[in-house]
Amino acid sequence: MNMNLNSGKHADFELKNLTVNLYGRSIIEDVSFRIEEGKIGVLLGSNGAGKTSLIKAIIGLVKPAEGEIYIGGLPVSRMKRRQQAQLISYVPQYHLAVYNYTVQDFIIMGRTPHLGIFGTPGEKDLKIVYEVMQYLGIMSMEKRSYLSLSAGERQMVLLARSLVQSAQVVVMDEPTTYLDYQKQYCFLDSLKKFVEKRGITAIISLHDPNLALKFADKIIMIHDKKVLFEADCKSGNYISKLNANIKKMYGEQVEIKKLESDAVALWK
Amino acid sequence: MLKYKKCVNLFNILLIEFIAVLFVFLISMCIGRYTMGIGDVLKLITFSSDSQDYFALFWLIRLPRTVLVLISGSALALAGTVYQGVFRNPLVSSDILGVTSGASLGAVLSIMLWHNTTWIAQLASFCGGILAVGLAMSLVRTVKNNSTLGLILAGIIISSIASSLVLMFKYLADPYKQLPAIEYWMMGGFYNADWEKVIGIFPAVFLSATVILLLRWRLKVLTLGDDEAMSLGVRVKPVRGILVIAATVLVSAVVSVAGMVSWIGLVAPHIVRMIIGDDSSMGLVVSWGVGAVILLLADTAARTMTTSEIPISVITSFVGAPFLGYLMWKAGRAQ
Repeated sequence: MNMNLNSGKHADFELKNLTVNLYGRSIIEDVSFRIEEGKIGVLLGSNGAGKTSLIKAIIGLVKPAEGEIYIGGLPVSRMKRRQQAQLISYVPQYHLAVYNYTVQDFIIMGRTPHLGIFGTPGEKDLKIVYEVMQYLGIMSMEKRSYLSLSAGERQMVLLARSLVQSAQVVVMDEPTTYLDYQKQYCFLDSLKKFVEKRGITAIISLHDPNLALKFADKIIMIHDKKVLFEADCKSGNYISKLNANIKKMYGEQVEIKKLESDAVALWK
Repeated sequence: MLKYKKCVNLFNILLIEFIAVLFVFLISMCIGRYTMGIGDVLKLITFSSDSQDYFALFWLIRLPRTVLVLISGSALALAGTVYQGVFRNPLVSSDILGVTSGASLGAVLSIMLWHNTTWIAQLASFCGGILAVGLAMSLVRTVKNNSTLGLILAGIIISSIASSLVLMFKYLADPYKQLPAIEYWMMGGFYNADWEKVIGIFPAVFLSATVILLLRWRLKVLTLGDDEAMSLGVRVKPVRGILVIAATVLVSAVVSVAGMVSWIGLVAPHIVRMIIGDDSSMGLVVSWGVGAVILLLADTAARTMTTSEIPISVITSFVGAPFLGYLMWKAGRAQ
């Protein structure tokens, strides 16, 4: 498939000393980490640790007080909204639909950053929509309305919308929260394949350590507005290091064990 | 298969709309206190009629009125679609938000201070309208979990303030000169339409409508919610500001020439949704025609149903309010 999606080597993502304030209170303090092109980075943390704030800062909803976000070495936080949206796309936890658009209509809105201020999408954009829909296997939903979809289908449509945005980095805020056990795996599996194939970067916040262990190339633990620990899931002894830190976050009852080729988190 | 089907449909829809507007226009031109045949109308348009009476009736009374109604209908429908999109709520319109009340407060003030000149009335009602919508936007934020409730409460508050101020102005007004003018104008209607009014509101309406239609895709993206629209590269605050200002210009232009014409802004976008489904950007393109047709039907009924004229809001409310009830009933059944 000769897609018009990004395939360059410019998708390395890096945060340097990011500090974010909201209403005079700091919500993120001095966070730095790096995720390489073609990898999935998972933000893991308990409720209120600052995952959502960090996500909002990354997609530019809140401007950082200090530090910078780099994509492919370019600082993005002072870029124009449209340029930012060409580099970073976003999948919310849940989309509250007021109007009942068709799936095709909904996904094609992902092309907005590539249109002029008065522009509307054309056939070139529709072609990209069809290619992504085919890739994700949701072509049959095309004419259905968004509200008629199940939670899992809706999340796939949101994923498709973020992928047609052709951004280097895809950011997701707990995208699997409302999905059942099987759909969580399907969703993240589709994402992982896409990320590897296109050489883009994904940053996902998750609650479930098992999903993180299964799909992450890098796990970044967020605790009390800071990075508690950062584990590269390719390095040999990451499980023991993770174990020490996950206990700080969730308490002594949680333990990560190696099970054949995969690692799993258990509640004792 | 790869055609973006909307492009093909759009042309057909516009054609059908144009034919519908033309059809209602011709009917409206023919009927009235002096009935004209369709042949007479066509002769008058092409300047080949020799009847002096018909000439004046057609060119100076019926045509300016019909044109003013068509402009107002499209303006109200466009504004309604914009408000429903920007506030992310299909039950919103300029009446419910209190924009119409705010705009009429401005117009009443201008009647009292400067008599009724189209330009000044327009400007004054715009100031009233924008004040009202600004107030509505800041009040909505206070009710976090239920935006419909917030919007309706905001509308109630704003309308009450505006109508109490209007009452005060009426009390202070000169009972022989100003009060009748205010009273007459408040009833709403197109009975005193003339070319001056048409020319007075056309520039503002044309400009705002153009801006809104150009920004139609942005409006659609805004209906996804602020965070998602921003992440899709839309600068939410300025775009929303421009759209709201343009919509308020449309409403206040209509209010300044015709007083309160209620319900069109709410009903027209819903009729559009019944025809083409939910699509805020295409909805804009279609809604002006629908607004023009239903307001012209209402106005034609207003001036022909009885021997004297009925205020147009009597008709639009009598049809529009039950229509809202029907929508609520339908929405309740869908859940």
